[in-house]
Amino acid sequence: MTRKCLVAGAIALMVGALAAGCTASPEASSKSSPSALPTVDLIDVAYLQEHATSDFEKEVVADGKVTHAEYVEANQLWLECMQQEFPVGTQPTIGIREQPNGLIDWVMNSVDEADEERMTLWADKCSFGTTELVGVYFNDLWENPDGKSLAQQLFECLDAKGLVPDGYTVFDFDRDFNSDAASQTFNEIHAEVVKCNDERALRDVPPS
Amino acid sequence: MTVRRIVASIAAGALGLTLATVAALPADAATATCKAHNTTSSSVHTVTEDSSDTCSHVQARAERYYASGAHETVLGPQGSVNSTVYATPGVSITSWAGRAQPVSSSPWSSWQSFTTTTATKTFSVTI
Repeated sequence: MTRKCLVAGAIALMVGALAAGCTASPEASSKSSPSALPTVDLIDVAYLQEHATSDFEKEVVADGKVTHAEYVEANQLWLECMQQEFPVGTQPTIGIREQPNGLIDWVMNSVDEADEERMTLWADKCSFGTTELVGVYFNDLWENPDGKSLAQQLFECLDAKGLVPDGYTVFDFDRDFNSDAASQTFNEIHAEVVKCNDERALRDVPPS
Repeated sequence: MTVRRIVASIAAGALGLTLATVAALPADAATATCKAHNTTSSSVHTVTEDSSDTCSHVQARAERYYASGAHETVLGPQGSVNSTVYATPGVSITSWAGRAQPVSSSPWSSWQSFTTTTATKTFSVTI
């Protein structure tokens, strides 16, 4: 993100002010200057309050916060809806499973393609008014703490391990991370990128 | 969304008139696309929206097999930017996939398979 600096006044008197008042674009930052990718757009409680549709969602967001217990309740409501299509005692069975980090997976004891299609169809229907907003909110808190993109998080991990090649900036990394044809530099460190994602993903820190 | 229904009337002889809906197309049907990437190892699969081409939501999926012979399909938590699913000790993953919702409240794309090598997928949805 580039900040524009508007300069007014007599040029002869502004040399010092220009040096102190203008902010360089991140791309132009030297390695010694802290620089980061723009934060990513995540949903927040205000968004939830604006878009809540079901009585459950409206009740959850009424107090301006969403608790983990309410996140679990949202998934339980989703499961109750799913069990109308996948009744308990019949196959396949649908369940919810809490990960060590507090997030919740949706699980079915089948890998049959037709079952997967049916699960997907009903998962989407049942998410309306239950997990569609609350679930994404909690996932975002955990996946993107402080609004950091995944590329930013992985670059910081590589940097902490001293694995960032000289002159290779977070912006270079982001470009390669989002490219079908990454640079040779990125390909050389790709195995470490994957390790950093494993470490990030396997941390057992609940979203907060 | 406005839906234009094209209804054809078919005369059915002495049995009367049968109405058949031959098509139901959104009047403003359009295709929305967005890109997502994967970062995948043998134990972790993360689907991430492209930083320059934001999807509304993404979701990761895995098929997991246990040593006991049990198997399961796991849909990871839906996210605005990332979605991750995991293997657990003693569990092998034989299939990774992801999907995306290009526009908020639009239908989701179909699932597309990813591999452990770096890959980008473009997800399209008719809205």
